[in-house]
Parts: sequence; structure tokens; C-alpha cells
Amino acid sequence: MRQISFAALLAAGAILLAAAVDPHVAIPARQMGMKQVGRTFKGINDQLHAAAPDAKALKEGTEQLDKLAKQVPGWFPAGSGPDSGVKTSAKASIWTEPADFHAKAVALAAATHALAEGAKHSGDPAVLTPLVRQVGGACKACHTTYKTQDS
Amino acid sequence: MAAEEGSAPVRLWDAPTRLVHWAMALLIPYSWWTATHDQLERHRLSGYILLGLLLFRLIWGAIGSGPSRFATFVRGPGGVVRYLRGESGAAPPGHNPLGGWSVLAMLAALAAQIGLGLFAVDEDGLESGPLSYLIDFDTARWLAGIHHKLFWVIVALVALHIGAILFYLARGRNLTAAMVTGRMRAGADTEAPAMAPLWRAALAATIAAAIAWFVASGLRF
Ligand code: HEC
Repeated sequence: MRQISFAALLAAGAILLAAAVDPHVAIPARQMGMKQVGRTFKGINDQLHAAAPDAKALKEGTEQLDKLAKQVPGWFPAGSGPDSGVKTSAKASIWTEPADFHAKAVALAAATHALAEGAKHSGDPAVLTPLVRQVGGACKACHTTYKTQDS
Repeated sequence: MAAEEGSAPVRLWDAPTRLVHWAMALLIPYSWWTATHDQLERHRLSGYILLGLLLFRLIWGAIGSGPSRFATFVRGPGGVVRYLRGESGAAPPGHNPLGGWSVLAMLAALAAQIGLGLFAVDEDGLESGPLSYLIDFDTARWLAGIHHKLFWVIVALVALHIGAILFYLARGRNLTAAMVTGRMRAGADTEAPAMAPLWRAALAATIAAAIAWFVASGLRF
């Protein structure tokens, strides 16, 4: 009995949560978040291409990126898809294939974690560039499948 | 302008001008193909070569052979209007006043396209132009968007260019052959255009290649 009511509570909570998702808030927030991911990642890339990469800036930038990457799954609440009527490049398949989408978000977090760990010990582009390519590959893998290519 | 029967061929387009022309005609579609097929390494290389070719063409427009010089074929609006009314009278062989602007428009669009590409970044942070480190992410993404759209402006200008060539071909003037052989039939009384010596082309090519290399290296040695 207790279990049933707990399940009911969970279900009610999920419905409430879904109802609480305002796509006019969730979608711009997600796009701002992704932009911040892009800005942070570019900062790391620019450091690695610099004549003298700044190890401290690399350490901070990669930590920042890792923090952002961990937030990615939370940026896609149900109800914030293309059917919401708000302009978004997110494809509906994000919510119909949640397991695969989630795996791609996890792959990103794993790659950003490895990069942040690497930057703790080294500011050497020879060490960090392969890790950066891993992160870029994780961005691309998700965008190719779950983002419409407009521009 | 009409090609009289029995008129003699004159040297019109020198070898450097023809080489640049055909290299651009190949590399512009190649740039598009590599960009749309995820081959950005080759896309960048193609862009750097196009930058060198463009710089060479600009220098050549100042110090090259007569018909290749901007001063020879670029006319003001008055000149274009007179030409369109058929009032320009005898013209030297080469680009007519309208065609001259078509050439300038294509070169300008190409220059803008290369410039944008140098600063552009992709969304995934995997690919970037060599000068993108000078600007922030949002600006670089904005420029990348224009880079995508400007390609279709280039397509439109090239379509006009090819349209004009077909227009003349239908009237018995083969401009393509002239761009291949460098020679064009002209009236017997036409003065042969002045051709620039080869050493000048070598000098222009060296300067163009050096600048393109420097830019491709992110303005760093
Ligand atoms: C798990 C999937 C996923 C991963 C991983 C991912 N993205 Fe995204 N990204 C998306 C989706 C979906 C959108 C479209 C969002 C929208 O329009 O609502 C997007 C949009 C963007 C945008 C455009 C934002 C805007 O609207 O201006 C940028 C920039 C971006 N991502 C950068 C990155 C970078 C850089 C990485 C890797 C470090 C990355 N993303 C990793 C799914 C992902």
C-alpha cells in the first residue's frame, strides 16, 4: 500500500514537473547554456593554439566546461521539444530515444572530466589536444543526431 | 567588338591570369564539397590556396598584362551606361564595362568569403579558421553563419558569369576558348595588348604566397 502511494506520488510529481516546464523559459535557458559551453570550449581551444598556453587558464576553463557538461541532461525537460512552438534546433527524437540521448550526454561528461583531469597535471598542448578532440567529438556526435542543421 | 571573319588572333589573357582563373574555377566547388562532406582540413587548405590566388590576382590587376589590369577594364557607372546604350565605340579586347564589374563582384565576394572563413568556428569546437582566436565565440559563430550564406551569393555571381559566356557563345564568340588558349580573334587594326614579363608574375606570386602563408599561420611566424 505504501509502495503504491509512493509510486502515485512520484507519478503526480512527474506530471506536475512536466506541467511546470515552460518552454519559453526552458528552451532559451538551454540555448544560453549551450552557448556558454561553446564559449568555454573555444577559450580552451584558443589557449591550446596560443604561442604560450596559460596552464592556469586551461585548468579553470576545463573545470568550468566539465561543470557545464554535467548540467546538460537537465537542459532537456519533457515539453521543451520542437512541438512546444518555441524556436529550437532540438529534435523530437531526444524525447523518443532518451536512452541514447542520455548516453551521448554521459559521453560528453566523461570526455570533459578526462580533459579537466588532464589539465590539472599538464598545460601541454601535446597532452591536452587529444582530450580536446574527444570532447569535440562528443559535441558533434550529439549535434549530428539530435540537432537540426540550419546554419 | 564583333569578331570579323578573317581577323587575326591576338594574345589577350596571359598564362598567370588563365592559371588563376581555372584554379579558382576548380577550388571554389572543391571548397564547397569539402565543407559539406566534413573534410575541413582540406577545406582550409583550399581556402588558403584561394587566398594566395586572390592576392596574386589583385597584385596582377595592378602590374599584370594590359587586359588583366583593373585600370584597363574597370569603368565608372557612366562608362557602363554608355556601353549598354551601345555608345562606347571601339573598345580594346577583353572585359567589356559590364563584364569588368562582374569580375570585380566575383573577386570581392571571394575575398569576403575567405575573410569570413578565416575567423569562423564550428559549433563543436573541432574546426576553426586560423584567425578565430582573435574574436569571441558568438562573433565567430555569427561570421560562420554569413560564411554559409555568402556561398550562395558566389553561386549566383558565377551563374551570371556562365550565363554571359553562353550568351556570347550563342552569338558565335567563344570566351571559354579564349580563357584556355589566351588568344582571341580581334579586328585586324586592333593593337596587340601589352604582355607583362614572367619575372613580374614570379614576384607577384612570391608576395601573394608569403602573405597567404602568414595569414594561414594565424599571423604568427
Ligand atoms: C547530448 C547532446 C549534446 C551534446 C553532448 C552537446 N550538445 Fe550542443 N546542442 C545540443 C542540442 C539538442 C542543441 C539545440 C538546442 C536548442 O536549439 O534548443 C545544441 C545547441 C548547441 C549550440 C547552439 C546554441 C544556440 O542556440 O545558440 C552550441 C553553441 C552548442 N550546442 C555547443 C556545444 C558544444 C561546444 C558541445 C561540446 C562541448 C556540445 N554542444 C555538446 C545537444 C548537445
